[in-house]
Amino acid sequence: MKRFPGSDILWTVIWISGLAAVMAWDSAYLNAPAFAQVQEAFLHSMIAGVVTVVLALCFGWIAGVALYFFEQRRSGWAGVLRFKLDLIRSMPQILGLLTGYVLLTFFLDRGIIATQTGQLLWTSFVISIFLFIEVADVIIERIHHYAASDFVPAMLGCGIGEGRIVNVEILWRNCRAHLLNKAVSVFGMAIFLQCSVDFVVSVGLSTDVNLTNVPVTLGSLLAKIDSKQDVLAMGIVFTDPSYLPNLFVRHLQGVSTAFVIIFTLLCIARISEGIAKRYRL
Amino acid sequence: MKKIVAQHIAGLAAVGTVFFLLSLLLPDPRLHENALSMDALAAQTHASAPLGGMVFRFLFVYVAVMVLTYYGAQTLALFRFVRTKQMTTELPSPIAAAGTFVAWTILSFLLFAPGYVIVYSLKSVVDTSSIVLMIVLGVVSNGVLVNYAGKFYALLMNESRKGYVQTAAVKNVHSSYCWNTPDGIRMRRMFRLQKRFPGHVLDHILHNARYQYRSTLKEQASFVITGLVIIEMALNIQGHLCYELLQSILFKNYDSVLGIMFVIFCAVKITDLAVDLWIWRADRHYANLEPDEAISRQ
Repeated sequence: MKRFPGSDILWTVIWISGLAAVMAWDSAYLNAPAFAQVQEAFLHSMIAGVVTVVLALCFGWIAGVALYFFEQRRSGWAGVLRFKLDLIRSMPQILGLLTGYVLLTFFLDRGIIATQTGQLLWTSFVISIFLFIEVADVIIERIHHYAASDFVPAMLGCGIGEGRIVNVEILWRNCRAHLLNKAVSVFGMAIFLQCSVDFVVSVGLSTDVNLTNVPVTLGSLLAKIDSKQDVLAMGIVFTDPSYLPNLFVRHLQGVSTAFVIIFTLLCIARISEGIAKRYRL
Repeated sequence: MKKIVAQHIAGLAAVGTVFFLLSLLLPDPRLHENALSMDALAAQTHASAPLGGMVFRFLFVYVAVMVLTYYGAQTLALFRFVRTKQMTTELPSPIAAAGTFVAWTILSFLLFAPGYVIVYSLKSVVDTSSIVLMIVLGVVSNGVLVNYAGKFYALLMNESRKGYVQTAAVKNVHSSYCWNTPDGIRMRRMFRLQKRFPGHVLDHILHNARYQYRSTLKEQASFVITGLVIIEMALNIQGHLCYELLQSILFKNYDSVLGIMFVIFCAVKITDLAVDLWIWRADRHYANLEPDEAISRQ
């Protein structure tokens, strides 16, 4: 039984509607500076997420295709590349991200990265380094899947280059649904990692650099003392349920930021699941 | 097997060498002009004394979370799979379907909540330094359980579409998914550690799906450890390994940073090795390379 024939579309609509509802509520009950910060944080997080996805797709595509051709030609580079990919896969993402943030503080200290755009691009780059492996895995798996099909030797016989067959015929024409699904899940993962790291490094990663100049994201906004107190207030509801309505009026900054993070992660996961169902991946 | 072990040891050696070289290159915090104050240094020295205990505690929590997530993901996915199969034969009423959708969405809010949000919302209610809380948070927060249950569910669904399932049904292997009927599923078996459904096609579906899921355990290990590091850092309690890691980064105590990072990397790498050996053993079993063992299992 298919209860939701297009659950990816349904969840996309739910996500956008939910965010619109939160913004409408915030515009009515949250003070203007805090509301501006929530909007800015959301925008920065989304931009960083999208940039991460684009970079991860590019790196994953290059790594996957390169590995395939190295293996085809029995090149020694295949072993080297696979070893490096395995090494990145074994490295917990959070450790890599922390290293990236330590480098960011170094760059800020030296004035190498001065603009907020540069800082966002750097964090997206670091996150994509630890997420492109998933894209590379999909690409390798898909190429091997289609390489066994009849059309590949037929096209080779017609004189079409192997590069074109792999990049255009296999990956672009036949694997867009897989790549779209992976892109959505990478986006969710990027948002989760970025918010988490921004939250935990709010205490600072260097005694020389003040991270208050770094662009505000949902994670760093949640780490601010006002938001932390708002989230702490959620615990009061467990002992005093009558306090619940106050959360939606008096503790709006932290509660709405936490809600946007969780709601986004939930919807992205459901959208990815819906795409997998739609294309039977 | 030797090749698998050698690959992992090479990986460990490569990262170990990089860390060692970095520890030689990075400056000593005591020589740095912005070095930590004497009080902070004393606090660091005091805190780093029981480092072994912190490492042991962290690894214990990690192993417990991995085991519980493996069990939880299978149980949750199996339950969802059986419910899906039941709904193909008996359509639930629209109200029941809507109720399930709303209940599952609300539960998902908890399961998808990042650990640090749950930690801060509970900080005034429970003792956040408790090891039990760490394990519970490691399993239920950050979307770990729900993501991996989703992956296991997808494997179960894929297996259930294969031809051998229909063949088994034709050959009178039990294939009803009703609860507690003679040819159906016994509910209490779903919650056992060793989930077996003898005489039922689900036993074969589950066995094959579990075999495919093993490679996901490597990805799960990396994600679980990321979640635990985030939770420990967010808890901000002295005596937790990752709090010390954050403090060491802040005060440029790079030897300590590299040491802790290497321990965490080793934990994931050893898990990878164990999973690869497990897969290798299962592959040999399926390829009938160990006839004695295969016969003894039958």
